[in-house]
Amino acid sequence: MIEIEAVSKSFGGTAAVSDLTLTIADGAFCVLIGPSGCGKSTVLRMINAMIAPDAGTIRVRGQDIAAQNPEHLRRQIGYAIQSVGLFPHWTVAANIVAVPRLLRWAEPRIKARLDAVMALVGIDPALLPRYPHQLSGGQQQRIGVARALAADPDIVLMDEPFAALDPPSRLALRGELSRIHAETGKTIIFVTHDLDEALGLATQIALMRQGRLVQAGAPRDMVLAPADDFVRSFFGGPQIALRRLDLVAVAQVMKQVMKPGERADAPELAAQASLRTALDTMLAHRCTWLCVKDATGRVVGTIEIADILQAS
Amino acid sequence: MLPARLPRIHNRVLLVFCAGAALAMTTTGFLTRAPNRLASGISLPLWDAPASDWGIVVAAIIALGLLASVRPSRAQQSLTLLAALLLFAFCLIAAGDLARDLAAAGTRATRISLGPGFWLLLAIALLVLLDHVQRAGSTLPRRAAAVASFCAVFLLIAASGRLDALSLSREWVAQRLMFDDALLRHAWLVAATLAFAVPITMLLTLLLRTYERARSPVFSVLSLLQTIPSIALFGLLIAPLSRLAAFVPALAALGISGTGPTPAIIALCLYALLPLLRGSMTGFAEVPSAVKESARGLGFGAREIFWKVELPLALPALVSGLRIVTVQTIGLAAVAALIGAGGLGSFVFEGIGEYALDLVLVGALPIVLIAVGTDLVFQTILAWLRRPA
Repeated sequence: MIEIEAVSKSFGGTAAVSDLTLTIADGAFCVLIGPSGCGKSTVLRMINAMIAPDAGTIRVRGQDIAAQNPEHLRRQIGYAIQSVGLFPHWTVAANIVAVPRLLRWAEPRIKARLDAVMALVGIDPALLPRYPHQLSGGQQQRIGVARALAADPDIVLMDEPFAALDPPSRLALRGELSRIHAETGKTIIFVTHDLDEALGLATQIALMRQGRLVQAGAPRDMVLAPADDFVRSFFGGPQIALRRLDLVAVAQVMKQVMKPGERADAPELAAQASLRTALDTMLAHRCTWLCVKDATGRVVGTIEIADILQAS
Repeated sequence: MLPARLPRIHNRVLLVFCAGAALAMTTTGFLTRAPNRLASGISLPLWDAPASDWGIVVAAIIALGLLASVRPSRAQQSLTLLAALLLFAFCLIAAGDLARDLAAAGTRATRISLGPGFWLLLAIALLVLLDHVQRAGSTLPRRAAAVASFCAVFLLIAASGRLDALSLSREWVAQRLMFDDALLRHAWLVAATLAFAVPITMLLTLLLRTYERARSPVFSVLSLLQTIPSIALFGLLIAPLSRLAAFVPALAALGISGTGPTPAIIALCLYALLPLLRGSMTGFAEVPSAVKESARGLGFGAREIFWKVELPLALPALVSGLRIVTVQTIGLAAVAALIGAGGLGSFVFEGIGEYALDLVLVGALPIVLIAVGTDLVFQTILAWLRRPA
């Protein structure tokens, strides 16, 4: 658990963060979002003591970080940044195990962890002896994520890690990160200014503006129950209706009955897909209803366009 | 009848070298003979040497010209190097043999100096070697073997006594005992300069990284120092140092005085600081901030960031700075002889004073050779440091 209590920080007279209180539960995927300059990165960098707050306290795992050795603290928290910052003079393998080496783990343990992290993040073993400059941007960031996870920290901080990537790699890495979070149950604090990224990844969103926390809550609350006009315009904009569909899974509104005789030619859809995907599939196939299948591929129900309209 | 086809030129550099060698051989004097040190001499052409000697020189030059139109291959490169080696060896042998014949005919005072033709031919042979060494694709052992073969040939010819009649050799033999001392002294001056300049640079780098504001004044002062002519700087240090030694006997007891090595090392250090400091500041500034930032975020301490990240990434720039400074100091240390610091420069100034150009060469040639050799060593180290991963 990470507890940020009444924290303020200013740089040269300009307030970067003002009186911010936020609690991030274990296993949460917390996205800090807001316009540039809102102080989200500063909050992130205060959690691993890279920036010391002027006022307030931050407790990580119940302990005030001001009383801890900052290097020791940082080695227990994963860290990945937008520009990746891989060590150019080290091989990919050496980059990944940088923190385990700092922690002086025994070599067999480092080796075992390297294999585990590569499997988790999806890194081709052929990359291990290469150097960072021989990799693509997407590969580099994948190594950056692996390096952040290498010492198996229960908390990982990520500062716009995918912002510099091209859309396909960005989408791929977002999917990987979502899967990694689900598989490992780590607490991830993720800074971004990309709304789709936030809604696609977060279990908890904290929206900041000019150093202050405007609203924090589940993605659904942010979109459906905005605290004020700023939140509404930030999460809504021209596509607010579609964004709402993003937040509801097909499984929540589908009917468990079949229309007899029409099953064969209806397009199929996974139960965990969003209503937005369902609508998109209907538009693509020019039809008004779909078959819903569960993870095993068994048909479990149907969804009609009327169900979507009702839920939105 | 088919029109005759001109051969295609694959290596223009080699062709230029060949043309230059032909021109030097035919238009300039190979050796100069003078009845004594002061009298001006007569130029003698290469053809006065035994025909077996100059024949091989001419053959080597023609071979270089022909090799310029051969498609580059490992064999072509080896043959080019062999031709250059032959040119080098038989220039020396021709000069030695011609000098021996002339000396036999003259008196003890007769001076036989190497002429412009000799130096040009020798320079061309060495340029072909340098071209070979710096050519991409050549491996380190092959480069070392090429340089070593030239050194070995020179030493063999010199040891055989074939060059003894040249007045350069006679000056060198006359200075033999002093030469070793001067060489050691020269090396010692360079080493002492670096031993002071490198730690001072490290300290300055550390200070300037902490106090950004001191940067521009420090660099201004060091740039200003670079503009002072070396002779003037050596001279300027004499007065304050003599006074210092007079007032503080403890310093005088340590060997500090207005003349001698102390002011020389101080002046050489002052000249060394700017390139060294510039190299180290650039080296550290070029370490990407994202790399330092992520190292800190992952839990690297300040010391670990320095040793594991900053220093290894800055190292090529640091070594480049050291390379410039070492070569520069080897040359500048010659001037230190003027204020009694000794070293190879003492032959240069003695030679100028006595109007004995061969004596000047006894000092100058080793300085050039040591500087070039040191530079090659540094180039090799740098190539290794920057090796493609």
